[in-house]
Amino acid sequence: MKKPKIKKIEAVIDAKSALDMFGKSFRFDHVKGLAEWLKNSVDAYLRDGAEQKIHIPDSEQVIVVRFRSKTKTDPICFECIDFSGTNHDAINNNFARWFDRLAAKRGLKELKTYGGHGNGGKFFMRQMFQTSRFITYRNGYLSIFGFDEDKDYGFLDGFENKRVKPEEALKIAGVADLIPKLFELPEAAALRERFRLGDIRFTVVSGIKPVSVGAKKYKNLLHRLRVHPQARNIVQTKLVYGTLDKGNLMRLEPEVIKPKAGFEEPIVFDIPEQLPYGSEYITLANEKFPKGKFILYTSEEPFNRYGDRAALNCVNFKSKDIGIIASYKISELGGALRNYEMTEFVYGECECPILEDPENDLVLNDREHLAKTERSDALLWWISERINDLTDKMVEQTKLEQQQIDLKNTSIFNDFLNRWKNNFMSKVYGEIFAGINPGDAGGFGEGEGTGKGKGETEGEGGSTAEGSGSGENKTRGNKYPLVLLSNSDDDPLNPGNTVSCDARHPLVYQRRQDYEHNIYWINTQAPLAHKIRDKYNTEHVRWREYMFQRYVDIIIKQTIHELEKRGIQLTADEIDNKFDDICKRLYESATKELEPFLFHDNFISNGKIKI
Amino acid sequence: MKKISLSVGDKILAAMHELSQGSTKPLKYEDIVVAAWKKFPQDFSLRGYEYPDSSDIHKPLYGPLKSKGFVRTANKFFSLTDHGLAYMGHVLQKVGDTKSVKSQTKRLGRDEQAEIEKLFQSDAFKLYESGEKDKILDSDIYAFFGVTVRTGKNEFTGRISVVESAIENACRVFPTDTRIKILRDLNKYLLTDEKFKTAIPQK
Repeated sequence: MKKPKIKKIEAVIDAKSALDMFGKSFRFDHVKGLAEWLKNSVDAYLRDGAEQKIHIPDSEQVIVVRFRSKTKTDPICFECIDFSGTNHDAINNNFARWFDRLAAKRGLKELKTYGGHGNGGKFFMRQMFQTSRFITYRNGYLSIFGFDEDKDYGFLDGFENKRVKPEEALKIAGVADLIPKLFELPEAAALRERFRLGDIRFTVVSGIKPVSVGAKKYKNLLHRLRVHPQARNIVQTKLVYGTLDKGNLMRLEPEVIKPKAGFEEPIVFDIPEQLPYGSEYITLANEKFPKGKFILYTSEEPFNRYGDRAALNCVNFKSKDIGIIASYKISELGGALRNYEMTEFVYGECECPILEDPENDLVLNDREHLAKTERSDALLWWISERINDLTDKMVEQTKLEQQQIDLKNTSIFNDFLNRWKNNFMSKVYGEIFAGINPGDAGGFGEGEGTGKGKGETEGEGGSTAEGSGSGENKTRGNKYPLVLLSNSDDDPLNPGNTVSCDARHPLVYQRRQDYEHNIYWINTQAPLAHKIRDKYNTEHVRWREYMFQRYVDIIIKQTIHELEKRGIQLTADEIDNKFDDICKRLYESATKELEPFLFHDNFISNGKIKI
Repeated sequence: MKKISLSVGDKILAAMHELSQGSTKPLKYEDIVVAAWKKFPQDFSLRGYEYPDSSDIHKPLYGPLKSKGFVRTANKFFSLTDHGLAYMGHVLQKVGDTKSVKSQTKRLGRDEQAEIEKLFQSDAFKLYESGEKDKILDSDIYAFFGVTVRTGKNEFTGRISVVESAIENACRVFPTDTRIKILRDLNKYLLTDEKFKTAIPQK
């Protein structure tokens, strides 16, 4: 038996109610609406170029956003003016149409445009003003289209393809006073020349009596427009001006974002072809749609959660054309995000062509967010993870910076220990090594680095090493070892930089050049050093004791090498004896002279205690 | 004993070997000068006199003998290293019995065996073997070659020679041993990678 078929009828839509419903998403955000108008103006220039098969340079794409204050006769009015212009047919066939993907392209399928569904600018006119007008002039014909108080739309009586002179058209549109000001600007030279040659066309979109905003807030609106995801790129590349009433034209400058130190380069990720989603995998690239890219950037200054710059703290989803198909504030990306304080320094850009797959298009009418599907969820989750990776590194760097600050604060402790050590070595070494070498006064000699020993093939460093005393070209080191803190103190051999130790480096570290200059570095990155600082802090007695112990290490190392240099045979017994001797003296000295340092919480420096 | 001509360096080592009774005991420079002169008067006498000439001994001791890793020095005391002892054993056998030399080449010397074992235990080897060569630090290199930042150029070069020679012999004796091959690659990596240039004294 034949299956019965549905007898089709035309869909019946209450257009006004449908538009009211869709228009809700444009309510109360004038910046978003102004961005839509900017996009429409740029698309108009792009269409012009495509129709004439020429490239219209960015510098010739002039757009003015003007705010008019309330006067005795007129209410507040917002205007967006461009110098492309269109005609009666185009309004009928495109502008008057809703939800038409090709509206922005005007049949030019291959044209890349900012507009998507062809609704944004119109909804703004319809929803956010008491009335609005689309005044356009081209080839000597003026048309005025618009919405009335009842949100009905159509041509204004008597202004449907009306033949008028350019000067009159400009007057009717209310922009005659603007043109001379614009022509004064050197960057508008191309437009001036076009008008001089008689090619006069323009479009003025105006919204009269805006909802919930006064013209006085125009500066704030312009400021936010500069950073709005849908407008930022336009402001960056085209000549966009803002003005209030008859005031001067101000070029809208894009917000310059300086990257965070240490994270200057954008981080580029290839979006995987598939992403896990529960127990399944979601495809994000296939034969038709190539792999996407996600780029993360950082900002030197945090974007505030609220306020003007908040709009920059987002991930924009770029269209395969030139616009933005969605934009998520970082905080909207979801619960998987970590390091919230660091996410304020991050913004990103995502380009994933499959999101615009006509068979599964995730681009919504308002272009704020993507349609919520498994694909968008999986992608947003993956993006959150990449942001987490970056902010983890930023947290780590902040910790290191904080650690450097903490360590800098303890440099007074280190200075104190250095003074004690010099004093100790000067006194005690004299006694320990007295009489070991004939004629040796027993004092601690000056450090001498690698040099050619007189009469010997090779003289080697150290205070009394091979070739000692008579070497040439010696590198003068410090008389006593200079002890510094790694990852904090300035490197005397490379000023402006520090020596970065690894957790695996010895607790007291020397490079070859350090040895030549008698420098030691206390490894502040050693696991024990970290643990003490994490558990207590750099002010704590435990940390001071850790530093002191490293001085003990250094003095013992120095002693052993000194013994060898003085020709003493280093048997285990000899080392044992000298170890006992030096330790006894060292700890006796520390007990007397370092008592406040090693035992008092309130030790400050120079042996004093803060009371 | 077979008559075989020894180099000046070998003669100094032979004197040291005799003086230390085949040990790594430190020897005074003056004692070495006298011992070498007594053993090889034609080579180490002052020209025209029957007295020792120290100048012929000084240069090889601080130079080639040290950079080949045969001797260690400290404040005019000199001692044969294990490598130096093994080398002298080899030279003395060569002088006495060529058959035993052949059989020696099929085995790894005791000093070399100890050297290889030590290298296997080093952090540098462990990191390299596990594919983490980027984590190798300058301090790992010093431990690998058994030196410190204080070690002079010639002595450092000597240690490199000793390590290289032990690895090469181990490769020859155990040609299929993959760990020894890794050791050889590591040694090459440490000596040629740009990042370690400042840690290793350049020739």
